[in-house]
Amino acid sequence: MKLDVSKFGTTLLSRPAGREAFLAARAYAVPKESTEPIELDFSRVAVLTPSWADEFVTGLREEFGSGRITITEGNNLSVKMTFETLRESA
Amino acid sequence: MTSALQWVQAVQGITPAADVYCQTRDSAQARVEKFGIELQKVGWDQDRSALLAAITGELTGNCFDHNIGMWHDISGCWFEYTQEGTGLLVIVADRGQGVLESLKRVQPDLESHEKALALAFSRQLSGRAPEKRGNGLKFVLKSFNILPKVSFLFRSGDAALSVEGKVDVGSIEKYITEGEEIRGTYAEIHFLKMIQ
Repeated sequence: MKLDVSKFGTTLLSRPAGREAFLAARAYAVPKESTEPIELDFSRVAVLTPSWADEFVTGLREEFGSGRITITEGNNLSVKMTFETLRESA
Repeated sequence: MTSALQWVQAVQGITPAADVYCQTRDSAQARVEKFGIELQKVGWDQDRSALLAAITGELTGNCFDHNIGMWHDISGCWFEYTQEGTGLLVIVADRGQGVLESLKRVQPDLESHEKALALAFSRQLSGRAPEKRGNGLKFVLKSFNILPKVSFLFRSGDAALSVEGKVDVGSIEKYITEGEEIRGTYAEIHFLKMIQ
């Protein structure tokens, strides 16, 4: 399944907001009885920070397993820089 | 009118003017969103506007993440931005506990504000451990590698980190000096020229 992350907002800044988005995604957006891969599509996001992304992506990885989660970054510079930063700290 | 620097230098804090004061995280977030939109209206391209908004979002976020319940007196943060010709000045400040007090909780032997700044900008370390945090300031510095003509000043306690353009994070100490004491943190970014 593909999850359009911009449905959680297009300016994604704070940790509390990222955490809330994770909790909402876990409750409503990701089918519980499924093992299909989950693509997180950030290509329509306008602004992303490492704080928001860390809460959202790490939460989903811990909940559903890293192996199920893939990320589509798109071309936005803040999205690309955010994931570059998170990869370096992993 | 009080400047942001005077605000963090004052022994007793006063509530800043409404146009620069974000008492809550929500108000800071709203202003950062507006900031990103306004940058595009005055000609900054979408990529750089997004990155500037993300940098500002990390800096304002830190004011709340590390200071809730720990303010000296005035809660929230000071956030202002000013167009300077084709450039831009952004200031984010808070009257919170500062970097040293925050990091001492996870590294009690930390002795100076200078060492605290060096750690905060070079290692993935956060006063909110065991929560896995500590990427925000690294992201800020990293962004300067692709945003040319930037100067950045970050102060906490009696330490100041000052960089221009690309940063050698492996030698972060060379950018840090001792100076006048402030309460909380003060960040000032000059984007010297709008580059299309």
